[in-house]
Amino acid sequence: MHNNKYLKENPNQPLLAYHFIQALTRINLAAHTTSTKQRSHIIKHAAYVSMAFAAGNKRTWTHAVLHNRFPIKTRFHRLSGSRRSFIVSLSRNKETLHQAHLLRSLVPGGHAMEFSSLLMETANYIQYLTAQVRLMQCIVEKFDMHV
Amino acid sequence: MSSRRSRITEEEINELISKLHSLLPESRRRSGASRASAAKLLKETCSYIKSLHREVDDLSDRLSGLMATLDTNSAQADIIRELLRS
Repeated sequence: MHNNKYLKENPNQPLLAYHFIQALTRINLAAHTTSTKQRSHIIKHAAYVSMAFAAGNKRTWTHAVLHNRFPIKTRFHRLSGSRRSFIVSLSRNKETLHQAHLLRSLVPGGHAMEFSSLLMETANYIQYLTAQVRLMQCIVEKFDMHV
Repeated sequence: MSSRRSRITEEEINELISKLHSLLPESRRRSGASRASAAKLLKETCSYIKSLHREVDDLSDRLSGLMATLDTNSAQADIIRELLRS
């Protein structure tokens, strides 16, 4: 069943590291021309792009990241997907609807997804976010040792 | 992007909700997802994602600061070697 593929995937850590470190190398080459704050934004952008590349093309959230630059700035789309596709048992609960709406703002492309897709994409997005955070922590640790 | 109108069963939804539940830190194990816990789970998921976003911000700041002070070539070679080894 197609759903199971979403549930079983583990983040591709080597690919994530590869993309991100490549980006860091490029960023570092231009380090003398950027302020610390500018560079921080560029690094953050590179982090989300690396996540999206590593996670691959089959996810809605990766498309949203790669086309909208920063996931946080995703525009609110009034698409029918987010309104029509409620599971009956959950839709009676206003609190659930409200939380689902909040979640849609946090997951890139969230407003365009059906509810079940939102759950799957969220799980995948969280897996890649945590992998990215671990990667960055690891790099910071190593950098720290050399400073 | 699926536009097919396939019937997603409640069971599949519950399965997805459990999966999400297991990804959250300090997740308490429960045997089923009731409506009440679905809302709670979504709320915890939102908090968790927000905290991860904040961590990415913070780590980006730190990396940027470290880059400004670093002797790069040797450090980078070491980092790459270590990360690719694991």
